[in-house]
Amino acid sequence: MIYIIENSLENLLTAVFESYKNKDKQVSIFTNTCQTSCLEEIKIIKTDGEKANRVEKALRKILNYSYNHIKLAFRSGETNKNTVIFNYICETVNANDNISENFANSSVYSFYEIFRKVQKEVHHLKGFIRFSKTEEGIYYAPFSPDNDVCDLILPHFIKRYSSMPFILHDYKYNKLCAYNGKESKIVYEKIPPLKVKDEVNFLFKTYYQTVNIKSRQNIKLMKNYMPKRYHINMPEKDELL
Amino acid sequence: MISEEKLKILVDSAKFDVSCSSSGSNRKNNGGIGNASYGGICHSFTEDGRCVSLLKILMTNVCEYNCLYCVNRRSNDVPRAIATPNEICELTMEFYKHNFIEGLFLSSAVYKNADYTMELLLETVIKLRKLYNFTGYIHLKGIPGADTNLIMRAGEYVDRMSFNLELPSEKSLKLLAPQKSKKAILSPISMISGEKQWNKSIKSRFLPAGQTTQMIIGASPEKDGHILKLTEALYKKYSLKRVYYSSYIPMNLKSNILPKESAGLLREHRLYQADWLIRFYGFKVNELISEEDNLSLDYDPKCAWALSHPELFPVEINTAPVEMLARVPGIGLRSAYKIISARRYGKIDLEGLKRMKIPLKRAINFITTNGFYKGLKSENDIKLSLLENKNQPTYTQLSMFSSPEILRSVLIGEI
Repeated sequence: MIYIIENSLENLLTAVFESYKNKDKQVSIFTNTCQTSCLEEIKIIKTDGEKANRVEKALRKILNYSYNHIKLAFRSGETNKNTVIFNYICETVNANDNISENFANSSVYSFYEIFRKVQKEVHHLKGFIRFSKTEEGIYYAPFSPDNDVCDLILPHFIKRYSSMPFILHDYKYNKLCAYNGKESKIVYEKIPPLKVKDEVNFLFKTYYQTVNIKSRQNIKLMKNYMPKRYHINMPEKDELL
Repeated sequence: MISEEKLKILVDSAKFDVSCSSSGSNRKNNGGIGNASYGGICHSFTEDGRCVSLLKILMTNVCEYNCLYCVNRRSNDVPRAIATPNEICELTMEFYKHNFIEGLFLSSAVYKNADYTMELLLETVIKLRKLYNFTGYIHLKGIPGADTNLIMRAGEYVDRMSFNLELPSEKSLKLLAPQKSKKAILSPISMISGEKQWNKSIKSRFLPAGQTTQMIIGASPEKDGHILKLTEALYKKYSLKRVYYSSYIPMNLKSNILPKESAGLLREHRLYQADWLIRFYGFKVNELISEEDNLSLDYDPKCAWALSHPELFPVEINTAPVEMLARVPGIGLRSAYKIISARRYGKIDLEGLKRMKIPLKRAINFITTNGFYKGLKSENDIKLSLLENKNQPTYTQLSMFSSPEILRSVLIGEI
């Protein structure tokens, strides 16, 4: 059985409700952008606020704080995330118990993995984001994360920079988090990343190259810790700089 | 802003300082720029696989001392430079605002004399805090032999301080760094540790991230057992947060006292592995090694320990206490946490362990699941299969990404 949903948590929760109501087994979830095989039965699930609410309420009762793991996992960029979360929710409802740490269960472990990936990327980005200073004196950071986490890292930078204006530009999920030194705003718009010329970037590249110990070269380890997909927005990795 | 040339000189001579951790402090931002992240944040990784967390730089590399192992020794012909406190502050602020770094790691060669250098360092960190309103992380290297008051005052402004032990014994110190003495190095370490204890009781903000130290291995004849004993004593006696090891690299000097070759990265790696076992896995040094021995290069220290204690294995995954699970080769704290979590829900079999992605290559020879043993039959086969390929030494760096919240209770202390 295939369910087609829109990319929203509410819609996914509605799908859970429908699957219990109709006793559908072996459900895979696809978003409307996906191609599906024509051998299986397909149902299109429309978001229903009330049904979604009932599922959320039931889950919160079982999971307490760890319900937030579901919200976090839903930000995942993995293509099968909807099915993984769906299976985890069903497993939880069936057990009627908080099984979030039952790692020997494959539904739980798959869920744990995508949830951890989101959590890890939030942490990585706190380090890997690079700001450049524009002529207007605004610090601008373009980036392209795996998961939809732009607004989750915003509070970190607000606390850190307090009165410094900056913009976090997620050009993959088309989100801009702007902070003017007092308040923040999230804008959804598709804009290509800007190129900013900033002398300090050049100085940092010099620093990065100098602090390396050549006799201990270990590029594989470097790439393990700092995956290549993040290099594109890092001045120290910009060969043209 | 500091010139590129000067930056190169001052960073080039600072890069052999191992510590780059930015963890252990939770300094808040009160309207300035910066805060500290308790778990630490790595911002970049250089091609040697080490993390860039702090701007690691020397105030100056002009040195009065002539320590044989050091690239900045007086008799070495290298370009020299001196930075001003303002240059250091401006660079730190700009790098910080670009999110290149977590803060500053400031060190210095001994310029003129210990007091003069310490005053320069102190002036810089005070400026950074008061004038530039910087509330990010600062790690300050202390100058051995400097006035106590200067050292204690610096402790009020920075997050972490460290005095390098340099060499693992007084004898080697006398031989290779004749101008430094054990007393000049150990007395500030001990003083800071006492001050921190006292400040803890009055909840003051003296060195929130504590102190660390570093020693060079392979430049002098001390064995790993001796080095680890010393490490254990430092953790116990002075509650140091970390002891760093740095493998000696020969640097343009013809000397009869120093070895011709580096101690190698594998030896350094083994010491770190043992250090981890002591800090997080509940091992005592004398369980791992005797004072006159070196760690095995063929097996990691946990593996070597397990192989010499066949009477304790195999352990049953479903009943063993967590401390024992963490002693199984191949099972780390993360895996141990997963196992004890999962077994609350039911018995775990081998398939269950695989589903949890617990690496079984080594562990399988040391565990049973529900009474079943699936590992190799003879002790010799196990020894052979666990032998690490000598041609491809694996070494990981000390820096790791900090643990997620759910693991914090397991991974005690800081990364």
